[in-house]
Amino acid sequence: MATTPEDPAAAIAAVIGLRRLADRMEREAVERAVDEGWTWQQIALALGVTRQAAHKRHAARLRGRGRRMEDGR
Amino acid sequence: MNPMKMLDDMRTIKQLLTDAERIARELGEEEPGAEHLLLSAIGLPDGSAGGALGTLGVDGERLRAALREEQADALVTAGVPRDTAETLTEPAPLGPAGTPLLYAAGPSAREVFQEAGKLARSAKQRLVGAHVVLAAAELERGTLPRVLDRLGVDRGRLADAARAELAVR
Repeated sequence: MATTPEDPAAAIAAVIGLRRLADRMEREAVERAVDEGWTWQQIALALGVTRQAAHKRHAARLRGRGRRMEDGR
Repeated sequence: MNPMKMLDDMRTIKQLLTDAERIARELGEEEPGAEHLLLSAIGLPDGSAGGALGTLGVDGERLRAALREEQADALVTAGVPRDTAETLTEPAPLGPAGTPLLYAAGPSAREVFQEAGKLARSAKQRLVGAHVVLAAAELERGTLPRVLDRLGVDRGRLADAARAELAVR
């Protein structure tokens, strides 16, 4: 792992890069979890967020992709 | 306010924000940033954003390429191997937004959008792409200024090019 760059602009750019990557991995992982039949409660607990937060972040996108979700569980 | 101007501005705002969101999602981002707003401005029918950037040898394609380089280099800085970083920054489109009730926009896009509106109002002009370019050139920190640096674009000269486009309107 690289150390944090001295230049704050470069360090913040690296943070943005990691955040984009984390967001992308989260989207892909949640999608697979849903395909495997995880509930929102299980996804939220595994992500360390509230069920509402997980739902808000992912439900609309998954519906857009035609995933059948059982809301509110 | 002149009602025709207001209608024109509403149409411009709608296209600007809708396209910024679409471009962001095509590039795998949930919310547009200033860079996506600028790419959207280039596509406006008034042509002034493309004109201003073109003066400095930049077009949408070069801007997109530099954005991707910026994103790959950011991951390399964070310790990701170069070839992995390049694979990970290949666009991963998100598909259309789920509920298009409100325009999504990240803080840098909001800042540039609001400033562009102010510039147009204070000059009593119709909102055009060059206002977005001028507002974008004022950003000093963040992804867009880093991408412009990467392209060798001096922000002062970009602002001048945008003003020159506005002067002929």
